[in-house]
Amino acid sequence: MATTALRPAATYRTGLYEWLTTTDHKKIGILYTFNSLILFLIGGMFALAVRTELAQPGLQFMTEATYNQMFTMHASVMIFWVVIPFLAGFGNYLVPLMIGAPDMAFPRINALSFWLLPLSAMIAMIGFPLGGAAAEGWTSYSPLAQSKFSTGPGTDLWIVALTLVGTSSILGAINFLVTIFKMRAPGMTLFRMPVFVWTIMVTSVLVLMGTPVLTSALIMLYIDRNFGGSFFNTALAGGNAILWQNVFWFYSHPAVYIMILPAMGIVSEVIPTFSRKPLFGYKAFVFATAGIGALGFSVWAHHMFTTGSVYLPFFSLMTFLIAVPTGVKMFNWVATMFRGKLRFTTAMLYAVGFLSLFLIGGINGAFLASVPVDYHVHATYFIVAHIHYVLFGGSIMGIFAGLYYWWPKMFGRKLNEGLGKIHFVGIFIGMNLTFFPMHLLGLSGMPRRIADYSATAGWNDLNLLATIGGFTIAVSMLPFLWNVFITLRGGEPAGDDPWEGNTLEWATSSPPPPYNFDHLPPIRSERPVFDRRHANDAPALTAGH
Amino acid sequence: MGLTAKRWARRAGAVAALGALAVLLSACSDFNLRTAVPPDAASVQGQASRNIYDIVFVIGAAVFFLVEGLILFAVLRYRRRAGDDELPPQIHGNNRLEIIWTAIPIAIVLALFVLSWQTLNTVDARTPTPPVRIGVIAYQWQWEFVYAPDGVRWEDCGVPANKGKCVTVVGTPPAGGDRSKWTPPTMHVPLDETVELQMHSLDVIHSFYVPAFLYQRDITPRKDQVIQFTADRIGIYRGQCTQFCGLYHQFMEFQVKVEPKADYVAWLQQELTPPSPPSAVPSASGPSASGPAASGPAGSPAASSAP
Repeated sequence: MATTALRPAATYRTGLYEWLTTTDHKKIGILYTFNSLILFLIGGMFALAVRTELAQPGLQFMTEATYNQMFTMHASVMIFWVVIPFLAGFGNYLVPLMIGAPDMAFPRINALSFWLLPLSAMIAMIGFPLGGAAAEGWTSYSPLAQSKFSTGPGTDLWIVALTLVGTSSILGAINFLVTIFKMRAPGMTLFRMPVFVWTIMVTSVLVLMGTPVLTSALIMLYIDRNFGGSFFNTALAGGNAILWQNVFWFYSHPAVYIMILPAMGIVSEVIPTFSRKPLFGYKAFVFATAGIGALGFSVWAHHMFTTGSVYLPFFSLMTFLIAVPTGVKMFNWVATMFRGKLRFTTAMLYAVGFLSLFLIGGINGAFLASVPVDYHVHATYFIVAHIHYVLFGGSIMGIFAGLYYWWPKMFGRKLNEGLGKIHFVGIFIGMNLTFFPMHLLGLSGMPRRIADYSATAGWNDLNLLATIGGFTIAVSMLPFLWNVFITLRGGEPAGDDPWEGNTLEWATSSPPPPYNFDHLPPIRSERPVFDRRHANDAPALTAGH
Repeated sequence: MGLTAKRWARRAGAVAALGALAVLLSACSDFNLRTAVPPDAASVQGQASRNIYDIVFVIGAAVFFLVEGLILFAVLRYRRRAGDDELPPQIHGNNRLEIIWTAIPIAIVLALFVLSWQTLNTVDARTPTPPVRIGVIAYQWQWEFVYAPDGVRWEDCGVPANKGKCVTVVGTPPAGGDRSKWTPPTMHVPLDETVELQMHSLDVIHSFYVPAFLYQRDITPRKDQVIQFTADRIGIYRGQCTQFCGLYHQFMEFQVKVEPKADYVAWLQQELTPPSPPSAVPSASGPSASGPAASGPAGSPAASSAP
């Protein structure tokens, strides 16, 4: 397909210095992607350590002290250094392109947002050789996180690292909001923006309103640990352990929507392209996204149902209600596929896989909204199952859909589809093998965060099965890594628009020139590239309601 | 249909293979169907929780099969046939449909909320005069259960004036990574009587969880908790701390023994009787320590230990 750039498409062999100092949103987006991929592998190693130890009863491979660091750092890495930045990276790469802008509003702050991430990751990890990384769980409840019970620098390093990640997120959110509100191309009204841009916008509002609360909690904990503070330290008068939980979850619950909304945005771009139909119910989808964002701030204490310190009916009701906009989205996606002409590229497989797996995560989440049910399964493996169906089956599947879909735009070459399909099958099967049994383990009473378990409780075989699943996931990553390697060295060249996409990023070369666009197509709907492609078709074909 | 017989056969084969694998795995495993659902409830409140769980499960399963069915149908039915480049009808939405599929889920979740709230009121209901009161002390990484007779507060059991009046049950402390060298404490409770637990933590947040009661409650320092339950099935039920509490969190197990009231009274009486002169034969059955109770910081009400 013809390229539209006046100058040759930018290549990326422009040297280390260029990559270290770039303020180009596209290069920064690629930096985010590779940083997150590397940390995904590291966080995955921590998970394999956990699963290896739990495969059989008895402590075979590590002490409790090491195990506790493994699950703490696995979750912390995956949440703060993998999923959140992966999606921010997609936002970075795509938002200016999708709205017809030449770059983000604040390119240098954009670069700062990125570089805070590898720096903070190293700060968190340096705990390992310095007496132990953080080991109180990623939720770091007090009094356990206080200096009396968590000695050593690991927790303090974790606090500093997370504060830097939070700063990166907040700067990014400001950047996204200003870019989206002030730099859209002529004709691109808010309701003609791609859904992905809407999800980044709502996510940015959540980041802006929620992350400072986490930062304040972290600073208070640091003061408790290092300056004799009594915010959460119950050994001192006035210390309130429940306060930590409230402040922490006030951010960390919206954080899960920060982690899922952009992934839903990705899926909302991929499914219409490969169904050859527009997203069903665009406006409803936008309102559902905003609704999830708003309701997301009202449910935090559902993580605290068993504390005896929460007004239970309110949080139960709001948690049940948030299932509604999420369900609406499921129906929108399915209806998009209905009467379409579906093409099962790897990206589409991941998007449909997302639908199936996130469905399970949403349903087991509805179980948890019922307080008596939560009384039974709180802090058991049922919760671990829920977390991973929504974050792995949801966010990660969405991220891989995005990677396979936009890789040709980012690098000018398509990832190999055969390897991609092997990757998909391996992850899909592995994921279910690992996490479905955890529902059963939780229901029968197996708590989470235990380095070892009773050999007579009936949990042995399901744990072994989950470990087999975990290694299946790990092995399935190999074809993906090979795919990345061979594609970067010389994969099948992609033109401007290899998938017949709908949105503006497909209206320029792959990869785009540094200034993004030579000229823009007319923007008269949410699918400007589709409209241009079918401008000469009979109107009946493109109309519809 | 867009699918050839060969493709159908391949799909069916894949499904069958996975199904066979699942059956094989479950056949030679210690997993049985009883762990696929919550345990049979051993308390009145647990049964109420189990009932709402069953309702939520049925609705959840129905939604799953409905939506998954729609996904599978769409994936199979609307596959693009090779060479077909014609655009399908470009449908943007359908207001009526969208209103319906918003209204019905709202109704379902509201119904589930109301039913859950009613169940919650049953589960958390408390009577002002429970016949049995037990003190529960949680600390890193052990449980102590304190039985104080009428007229004595369990918090005062450590006071010299009350020496010999209370019964304290405590397990052996964990010894490194060796589970065989460690025993959990057993809380005896009578059948069909309301038992009140007054729970206190000495250090970090712990959580008292009995899967057979489908119930747990966090015990936070400076926020003592009071819960009640009525056990209605004889048996010994495992319990465990579920709130991550540090290095040996995985060891903080305990047991609840539900026995007929007469047996419970006899056990309590036997524990209060001063021990007979030491003999060469180790004393009777049942887990846990003899000798000085595992101690917490000064001020803990641990008194005489007992099996």
